[in-house]
Amino acid sequence: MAKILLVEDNELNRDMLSRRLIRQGYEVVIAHDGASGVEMTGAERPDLVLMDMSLPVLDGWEAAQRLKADPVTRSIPVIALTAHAMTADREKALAAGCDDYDTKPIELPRLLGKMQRLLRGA
Amino acid sequence: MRSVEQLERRLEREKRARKAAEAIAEEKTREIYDTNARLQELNNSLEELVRQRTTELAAARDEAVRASQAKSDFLASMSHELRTPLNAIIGYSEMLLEEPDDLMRPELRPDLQKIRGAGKHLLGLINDILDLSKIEAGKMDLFFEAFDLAALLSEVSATVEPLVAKNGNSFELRHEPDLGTMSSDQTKIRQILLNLLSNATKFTTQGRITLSARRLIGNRVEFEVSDTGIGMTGDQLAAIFQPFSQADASTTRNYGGTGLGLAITQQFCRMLGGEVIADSVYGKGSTFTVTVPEVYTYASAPQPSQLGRQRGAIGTVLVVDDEREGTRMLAEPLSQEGYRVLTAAGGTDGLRLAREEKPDAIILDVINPDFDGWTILRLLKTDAELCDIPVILVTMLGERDMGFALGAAEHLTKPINPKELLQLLARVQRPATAPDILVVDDDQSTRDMLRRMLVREGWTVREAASGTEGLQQLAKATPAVMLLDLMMPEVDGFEVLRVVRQTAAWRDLPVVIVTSKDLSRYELEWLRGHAMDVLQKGAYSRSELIAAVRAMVEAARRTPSRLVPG
Amino acid sequence: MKGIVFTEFLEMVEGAFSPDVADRIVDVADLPSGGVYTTVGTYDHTEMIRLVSILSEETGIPIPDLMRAFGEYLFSRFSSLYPKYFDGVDSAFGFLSNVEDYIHVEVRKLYPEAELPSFGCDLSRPGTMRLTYRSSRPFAPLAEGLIRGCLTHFGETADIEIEDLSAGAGTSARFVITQRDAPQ
Repeated sequence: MAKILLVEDNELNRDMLSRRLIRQGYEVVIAHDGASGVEMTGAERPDLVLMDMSLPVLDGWEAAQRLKADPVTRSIPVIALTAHAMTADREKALAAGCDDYDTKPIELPRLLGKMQRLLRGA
Repeated sequence: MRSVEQLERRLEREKRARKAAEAIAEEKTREIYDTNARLQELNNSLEELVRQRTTELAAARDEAVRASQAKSDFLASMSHELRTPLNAIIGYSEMLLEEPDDLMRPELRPDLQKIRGAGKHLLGLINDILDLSKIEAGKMDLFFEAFDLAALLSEVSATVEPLVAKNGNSFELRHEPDLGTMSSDQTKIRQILLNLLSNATKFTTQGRITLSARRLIGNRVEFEVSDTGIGMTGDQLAAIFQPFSQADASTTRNYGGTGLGLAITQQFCRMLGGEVIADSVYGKGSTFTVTVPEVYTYASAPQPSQLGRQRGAIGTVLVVDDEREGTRMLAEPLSQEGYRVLTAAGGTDGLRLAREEKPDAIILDVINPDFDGWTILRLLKTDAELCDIPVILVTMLGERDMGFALGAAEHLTKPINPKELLQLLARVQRPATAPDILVVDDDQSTRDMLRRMLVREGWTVREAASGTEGLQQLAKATPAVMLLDLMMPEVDGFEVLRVVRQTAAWRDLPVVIVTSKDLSRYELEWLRGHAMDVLQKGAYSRSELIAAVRAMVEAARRTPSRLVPG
Repeated sequence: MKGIVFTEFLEMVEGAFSPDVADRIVDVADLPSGGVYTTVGTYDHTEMIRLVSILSEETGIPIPDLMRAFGEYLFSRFSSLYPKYFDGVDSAFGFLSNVEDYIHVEVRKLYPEAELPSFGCDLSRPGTMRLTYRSSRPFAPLAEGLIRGCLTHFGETADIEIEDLSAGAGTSARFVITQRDAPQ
C-alpha cells in the first residue's frame, strides 16, 4: 500500500488525518514542520506528500518548492492543504509546484479522490 | 510791530497745527498697527485652528483605517482560530461515523450526525463572515480560468440535489446543449449559484426549483434560479441584498442561514463585472437572475457605475434595421463572433445610439420607416463626430453605387451571408492609431515570424530577446499587448508575468503566452489566471493569434487610461 | 467738522480780504482750538459758525452770502486737492449724484467718525436735479455755494431754486437745479 508523508503542525489535525488515512489502508509517516518534511521526503521516499501550507520553520510553499527543485524528490506528487479557502493561497501553492491542493476542513472522500488520481498517475 | 506779533501768532498757530497733525498721524499709525496685529493674531489662530483640525481629521482617518485593518485582521485570524477547533469537531465526528458498527453503538450515529451538521453549519457562517469582510476590505481575490459551462451547471446541480429533495421539491436544470465555455472566476460563479439555489430550497416546500442558463447578445451569460416558494413582499424584496437582512428576524429561526448569502452573491456578481436581480411574487415564488460577462477582461473590471455598459471583446456594432427578423439575422453571427451588438429599429434611435455609444461600425438597412436609410447615411456622414464610423449598407441589388457615393464603406445584399458580413466588418474596422505589440521571446526566428504577422495587420512591433529585456521595454512604454514566451534563460516568462501582474501600471496589460513548453494542467491554470490567452507553438493558427491580439487591442482601445501608444 | 474746511476757510479769508482779517477773526473768536487747525483733524462745527459770524461783523457781508462764497471757493479747492473724485465725471449732475454714494463712502474710509450731511438726488425730470440736503448743522448756504462751485467747475449754467425744509434753521433744504441750456 502507498506510503504517505503528512506534514502538519497542528496536533489534532495530524492525529485525525493520519488515523483516517491509516484506516483507509495507507502507510503514514509524519513530519511536524516544513524543514523536517523536506528531509523526510528524501529519507522516506513516500509515494505522496500531504503538505499543510502554514508550517513552522519552513512554510509549505517553500518546502514544496524545495521538493520540486530537487531531482530526487521532484517526481513525488505533493498535495497542498490550505488552511483558508483563499484563492491566493491556492494559486501560490500551484505556483510553488504543488500538483494539487485541497482546503481544510478536509472532506475525506474528496481528498482521497485527489490522492488516488495522483498515485495512479505516478 | 503789529505785523511781527501777527506773524508770530500765525507761526505759533502753524506750529501747533503741525504738531496736532503729527499727533493725529501717530495715533492713526498706532491704530493701523493695532488693527494689523489683531488681524495677524486672528489669522494665526485661524491657521492654528485649521492645522489642529487637519491633524485631528488625519488622526481620525488613520484611526479609522487602522480600525478597519484591525477588524479585517481580527476577522481573518479569528476565523482561522475558530476553524481549527471546528476542523477537529467535524473531523472527529466523521471519524466516529466511519467506525464500523461492531465498534460503535449504532444508536449514537444520529447524535454524531447532529454534531457534524452543527459544526458544518457553524463553518458556513464563519466562511460567510470572512468572505464579506474580505470583500469589504477589498481583499477578495479573483482567479480567472476558462471552464465548461455545462459541466459547472451539472456539478452545481449534483451538489444541491440532496438539499432540494429534503423539502420534497423537484429540481430542473435547463440550458441549450452547446453552452460552451466561459472565462471567469469559476469558484465565485459556483458559489453564486449554490447560494441562490440553497436560498431557493430554504423557502420552497413541495415545489419546483429551476436552474437555467443561456447566452445573451453582447457576450454575457445569464443564470436564472427560480422557485415556487413563499416569495417575498415588495419591502422584503427591496432589502434582500442587504447583509443581515433576511426577510424578517423570524425567517432566520424558521429557515436558518446567516442572511449573508445574498449579500455575498451580489458582491461576487459585481466583482465579476455582472449583476444580480431579484424578482418575486408574494406567495408564488422568487426568481434571481445573474448576468455576468462571458469573458472577464480587465477592462470590464468591477466599476459599479459602469455596470451594464460592458464593452464587447472585439468591438461594438450597431445594427439599424426595422425588421426584427432582419436584425436577428445580422446580430446573431456578430455576437457569436464576439462583437457587442446594439440594435435600433429606426433612424432616430439609430442616430441616438451612434452618438451615445460610438460603435466601431454601423450596419444599416436602407429601408427604414421613419426616415429612409439614405437619409440616415447622409446624416451619419455629415456629423463630425460620427463620420469616421464605417457604415456597411444592406441594400437591394443595384443600389450600391449610390451607397458608396454617400460614403458607405461596404455594401451587402440580402439575403445576408454571415461569413461575408464578418469579413466585411473585419475589413472596415481599423484601429485609429497603430497599437504597439511587445514580443518577448529569446528565439530570433520566432520573433521574426511574429513580427511579420503583426506588422501585416498594421500594428507596430517592439522586440525583446529575454525576460529582462522585456521588462526594460515595458518600463520604457506600456505596449497595447505583450506576446510572451515562457522558456527563456534567467528571467523566464512565468517570472515576467508575475512581475507584470504585481506592478500596478501593468496589472491590466493584456498578455498572450506563446509557448512550446508542455504545460501541466496547473501551469495552464495559473497562466490562464494571469494572462489573457495561452497559445501553444505549433498548435495555433496565424488567424487565432491575430484574433486574440486584435481582441485585446480592441479592449485596450476602449479603456482610455490604457491607451499609451509609444 | 473736518479740519480742511477750517484751513480752507482761513486761507480764503487771507486771500479774499487779508491775513490781518484772518488773524483778527481768529483772535476775536477766542475759540477752544485757538484757531489751530490741521486738515486731518476734526473740530466743533460751532467754531465755523462763530468764525463766519465774526467775519460777517468785520466785513458787513451777510452770513449766508459769506457761506455761499466760501462754498464756491471750497469746491474749486476740492477739484485741485482731490482730482480722483473727478475722474470720468464730465458734468455737474454727474458729480453731484456721486457725492452720496461714492465721495462720502471714500471719506468714511479715512474718517470713520466723520459726521457727513446727506445729499439725496432725484434726476427723474430731464435737465433737472432735485438735491435734498439734510444735516445736523445749519450749512445749507454752504451746500448751495458748493453746488454753484460745481456748476462753475464744469462750465455749466443753471437756475437753482431753493426750498427751505427746516423753517429757517438751515439744516435742510431742497435745491432744484435746472440746466439753463438743457435741450428740451
